[in-house]
Amino acid sequence: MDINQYNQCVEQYADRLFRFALSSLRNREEAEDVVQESFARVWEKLKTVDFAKAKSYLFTTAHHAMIDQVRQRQQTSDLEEIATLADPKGIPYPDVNNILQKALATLPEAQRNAVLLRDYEGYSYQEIGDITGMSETQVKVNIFRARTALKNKLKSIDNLIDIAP
Amino acid sequence: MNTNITTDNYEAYLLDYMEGNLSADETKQLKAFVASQGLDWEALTEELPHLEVPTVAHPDKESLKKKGTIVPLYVKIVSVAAAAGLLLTVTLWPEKQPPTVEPIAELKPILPERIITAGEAPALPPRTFRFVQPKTEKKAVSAVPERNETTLVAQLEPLRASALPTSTHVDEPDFEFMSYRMSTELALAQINAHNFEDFEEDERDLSLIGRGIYRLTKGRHNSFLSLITSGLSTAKEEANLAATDMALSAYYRADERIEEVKESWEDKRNK
Repeated sequence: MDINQYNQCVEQYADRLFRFALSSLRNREEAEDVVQESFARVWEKLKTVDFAKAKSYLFTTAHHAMIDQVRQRQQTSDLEEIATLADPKGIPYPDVNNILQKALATLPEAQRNAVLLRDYEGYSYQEIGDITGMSETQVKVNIFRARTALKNKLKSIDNLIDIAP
Repeated sequence: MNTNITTDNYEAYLLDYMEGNLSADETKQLKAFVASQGLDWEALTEELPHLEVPTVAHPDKESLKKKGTIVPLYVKIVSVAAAAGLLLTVTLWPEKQPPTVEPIAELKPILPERIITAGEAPALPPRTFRFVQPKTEKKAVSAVPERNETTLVAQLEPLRASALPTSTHVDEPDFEFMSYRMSTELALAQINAHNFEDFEEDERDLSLIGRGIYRLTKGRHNSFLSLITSGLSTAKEEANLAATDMALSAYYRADERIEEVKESWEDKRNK
């Protein structure tokens, strides 16, 4: 890959990486750090990273960086607190998706990242497995569980709305 | 078809079913499995939500981009080797050409164009050229005591930390931030403490370096070890930019290797 291709990657994937990281971490600064780190890694490995595989490399690197971020964060807070951190300010989600995004923050990390890679980036299950280090079956199981949890969350919200005066 | 549906994977099959990717026979087996587990098929196969893609943009995409051009690896290698070649010529035969010691502040990178001229150097060795590395200088990774590595990391880390903020790319070291002596000592510490097996992992690059070194020293040096050792000792004396370049590159390479070696040790311990 050369410098032009690198800049092309920034143009094509920076927003998408940021969206992935922000949706998973729910923290803009952390998401920016993840994106910066991911591109820094590509820059370091510029000569060995194939342009055609740059996107996959970026998302794999970002995924690892996000795991590190979450681990650091878990030393001081638990998942419940992370969910309460989930402030959609600046993230223009529609209503239902806003609920889904908040529910997303309560999912286990593996489920959250798998469903984000599937729905945002349209990666195949095999590709998600390559990025996250899971088997294809594990990816499917995680995505099924994630969607089921999101569905249940939506249902519970619906019930609340139904009984509201 | 006999699918192997278990409690560990039945959700993967459910997802396949809901996406229309199961055959009739597989669906039948999945339904039978779900029933055998006392699960509610209807509830399990209700429509599942998908996330809408939000419109989110990175706040400062331009800051991630790079400007300028990258000097091809071969040019860099030849540049470094050329500088080192000149350096060696100057320092190894002082009686013929006494070195002119410049103040450090006035040292400038030595341009390869001053060294490489057509027909001046012998032909490149074949692409299969390999470095001459006496076997006695090699140590198996497993034979390197862990405490040495730990000590080395502890010794290097503060210096590395001070180096990294202004030098983020292995091929583009910034020499302005630290003294030449420090970088040479860092590299020397790395070289003394580590075997050279790691360089074989990057054989393509090193082959290029080796060929450049061979050519520019007119066949006198075909060993990375001998050249860099000469370059380092000279750099210590003269604070020569070119030799320091090589030293710092070696440091960064070795630094990456430390991480790999650490991981391999951890793997071995876990096994």
